[in-house]
Amino acid sequence: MATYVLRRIAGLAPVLFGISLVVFFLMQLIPGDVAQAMLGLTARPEDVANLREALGLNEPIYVQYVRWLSQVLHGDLGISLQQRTEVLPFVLERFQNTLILTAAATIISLLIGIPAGIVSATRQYSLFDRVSMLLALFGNSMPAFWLGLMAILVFSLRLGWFPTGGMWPVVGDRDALTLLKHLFLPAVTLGAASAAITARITRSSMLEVIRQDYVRTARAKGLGERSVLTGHALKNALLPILTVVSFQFGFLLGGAVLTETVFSWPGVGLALYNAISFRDYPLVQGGVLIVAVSFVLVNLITDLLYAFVDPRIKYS
Amino acid sequence: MAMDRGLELPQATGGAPSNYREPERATPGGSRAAVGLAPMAETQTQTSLAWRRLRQDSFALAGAAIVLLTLVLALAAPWIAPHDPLAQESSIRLSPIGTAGHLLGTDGNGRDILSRLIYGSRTALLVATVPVLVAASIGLLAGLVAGYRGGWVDAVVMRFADILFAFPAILLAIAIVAALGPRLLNAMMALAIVFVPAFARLVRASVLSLKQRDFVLAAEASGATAASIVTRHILRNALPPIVVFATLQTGQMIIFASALSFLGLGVQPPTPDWGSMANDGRNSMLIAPWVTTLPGIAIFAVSVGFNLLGDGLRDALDPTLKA
Repeated sequence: MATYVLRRIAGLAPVLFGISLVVFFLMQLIPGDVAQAMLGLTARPEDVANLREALGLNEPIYVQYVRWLSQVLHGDLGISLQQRTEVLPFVLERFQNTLILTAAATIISLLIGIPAGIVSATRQYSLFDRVSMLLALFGNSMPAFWLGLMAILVFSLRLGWFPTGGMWPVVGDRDALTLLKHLFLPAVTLGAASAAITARITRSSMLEVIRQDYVRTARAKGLGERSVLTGHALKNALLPILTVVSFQFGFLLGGAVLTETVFSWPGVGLALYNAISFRDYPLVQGGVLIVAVSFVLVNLITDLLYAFVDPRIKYS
Repeated sequence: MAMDRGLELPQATGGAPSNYREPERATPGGSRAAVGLAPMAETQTQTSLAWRRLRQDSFALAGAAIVLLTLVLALAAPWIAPHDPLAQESSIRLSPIGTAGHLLGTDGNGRDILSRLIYGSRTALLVATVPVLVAASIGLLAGLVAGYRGGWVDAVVMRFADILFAFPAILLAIAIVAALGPRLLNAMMALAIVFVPAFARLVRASVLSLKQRDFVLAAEASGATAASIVTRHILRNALPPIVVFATLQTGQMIIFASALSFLGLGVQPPTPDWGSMANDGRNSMLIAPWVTTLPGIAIFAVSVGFNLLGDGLRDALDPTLKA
């Protein structure tokens, strides 16, 4: 097991290296002069030249990459042009807010998706099954940004139950209840599509397990239906669900960009959105890098959990 | 080629509990290509069977109808749109649904929403299908080569896919467009890039299972060239899951593309596009909710259409997958 863990962690290195290459070369895609693009067309030529020098753009590309990578490894992601502050601390602070939103969305998607999937599977082709699978299809086909706008329209603007956006009120207490009120709509918006996918996967995973011999045996020896489902079926159906959950996390991190923009949630997604319109390339680079690395780490943790939970996986 | 196949076989798990029995699972593509040779006649029967199953699936037919209707709207837009989608008339800004002459009302610039929705179907279909086709083609090629050749080619292709997979898709697409500049073509390119790895992995997995089949082994034994085996035996059997996946991905792509436009990174104004139309109405949502609501319904409907069709195709092409 220890060797497996170590090998799996060592296997991260090439992926992380690849991520750094992609993030670095993304900025090489910027057409024309990056310094010019950052400062705008009206900038004075000497300012552009100074920025080129400061960013090291006059050096060969591999020198630029090696220097950038070594800075990144030392925790230096550059200075945000828009925030006038170091990128890493800023992104990490915003990332906490994104994690709060993503975690809430994950919880919502699991709370809805798993029970719905289980009941659908145990009552296949029932009315509940049909309705919930239709809802899952709808959830999967709904653009999150639009769902968010509709939620704001109905629950904030019309009914006034929830704030229209932000994480905290401009003035007032910063207690848990206030946070929950601000969190509810964005989390539901972000979690809806994820709940739909979780429900579908749980259903098909359960259906497959229910037909196994050991489930039939459990029934044959007279176990109650509840005990068969929770003790035998669900335990084994959970493994594919676990994979999906980790995969969903990346999906949610990506979706957070949209949800945060709609709800002005001060996370990394909103920061990225603002950075893009501001041509704040160091912040775009830093934000994308942090999100990608965290996604890889979550996948690693899932893989390790998976191996831990499922004795069939061998670490040879 | 037969030599390195052993590397791809699942390694025997030495320390598995002796009483453990591998669960029987319906592998995707498992039963479709029946064991043994895959002669022409059988393929035709499979296709006609699939076609018959599809025609009996009312959900799939509903999906196909939605997709077809959107296609008709897109092609016939100039003839059926009641107004010029770009024509602005400031005196009738934010007219509600049911206004005479403007069935679905007007937006903040006094443009006819119905006409913009009809014209918007053009960009929606373009931006949803082209990236999927490009991603599917590149992924198909990469997956075929990686899966069939194995070895270092496989390693390189799959590591590349792993790296792209490390980024949440929409985030990578946003980053690429942010760098290239917000334009429709750039958005389509970005969306194609982020969807390639999923196709490559899917194709590779099918190829790995197919190349151990008896009919491929028989072709190899009879001296067929690699190119002929891949095109005549493997590609044909690997194709159905790709068609299903591509259809489902098109449903997702509509949402992705509209999201990029919503963020101002896709279709640029004043070109009618559902995503940017939804964004246009944000500021007037309380007084004129229809400006934002209607384009969202259009995106939703077309996405549902592709998803229904994709689910139907999956059930029709591979009944073992149907739960």
